[in-house]
Amino acid sequence: MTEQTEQLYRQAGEQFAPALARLARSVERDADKARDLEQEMHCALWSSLARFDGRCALKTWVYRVAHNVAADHVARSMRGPQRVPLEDIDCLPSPANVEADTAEALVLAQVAELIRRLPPVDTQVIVLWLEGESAAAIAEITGLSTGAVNVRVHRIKTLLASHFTETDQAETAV
Amino acid sequence: MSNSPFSLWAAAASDATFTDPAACAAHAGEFERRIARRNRIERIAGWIQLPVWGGMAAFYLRVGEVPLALSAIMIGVGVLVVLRNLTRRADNLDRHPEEPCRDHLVRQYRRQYEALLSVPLWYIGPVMPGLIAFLAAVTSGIAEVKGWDAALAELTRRGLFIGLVFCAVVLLNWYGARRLKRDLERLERLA
Repeated sequence: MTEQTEQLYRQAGEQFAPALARLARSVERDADKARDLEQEMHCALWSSLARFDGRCALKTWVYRVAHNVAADHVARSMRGPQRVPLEDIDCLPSPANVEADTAEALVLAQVAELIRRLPPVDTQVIVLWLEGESAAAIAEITGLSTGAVNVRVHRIKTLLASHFTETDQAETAV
Repeated sequence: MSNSPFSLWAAAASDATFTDPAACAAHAGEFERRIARRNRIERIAGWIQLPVWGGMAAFYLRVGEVPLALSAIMIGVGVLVVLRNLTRRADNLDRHPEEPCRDHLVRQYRRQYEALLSVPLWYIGPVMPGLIAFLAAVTSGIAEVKGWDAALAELTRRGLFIGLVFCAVVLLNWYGARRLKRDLERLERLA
């Protein structure tokens, strides 16, 4: 590993370690397996950085590596529930075994459950959106058209908005 | 990264750090070793079959059943070809995880789709000549003892059973390939 690559790895670690940890935990419910997946992402990134030529931003590179490793992980353990595209989901699924203190935490737990039930592409878009990435950045990372990204982001926003509206209405009614 | 729509999402795992590079080097070595171990097991499983077919061929030769001996040799050769195909097709894809996620998925799905669709060619095809030769030899042996009517009836029974098993294998793989094709088309539309 050259000094420059090592420097890039350190820089990526400082900026993206929490985001990669969140990604691993959102696609893998089991904490130990999530930790293994996280380490797998680090190592894939570590070996890939020798090929980094600066043609895209470091952020784009890191997210591509991490999401592709996550997609491979999901493909290896496809025995879970059947995956359903975001377009076909009408409401957030109920999370299993979650003790939520606040409405936001509950929604996050439901989003995590939703993420685990989505096909890889939809998962990638949602997690990147949750990380605060723009549609253009998500499109560059995933290779999807900006339109396709916008459709997915709009869908998840609508899902969340309708969920909050229903929750508010229920609270008002009580 | 600070514009996350959920503050709780961005706050989670904020203390996470990257794995030490030395651990990554060790991990990469472990990965290589795992693949090598898997390939070794695959080869051993294949090589265990070969002495069986070789032994059968030797036995049939000794008792003067040349057609049966030849068919056993042909099946053995077929197993060798299947083994080579398995190694070629079971290998991991070149790892380029930095490519855009959609391209990565398309490459994976396409490889699996092609492998499933061509199962008759690379998995069943190589052992077919040996099996047909075996059935022909057995049929002719039965015909010498019980006559051709009984031999052909037996051939039909055995042929039907083998044909049904192979058809089921091909159909299941074809069904899997069709599902992958739909996934592939869906991904293509997202570009």
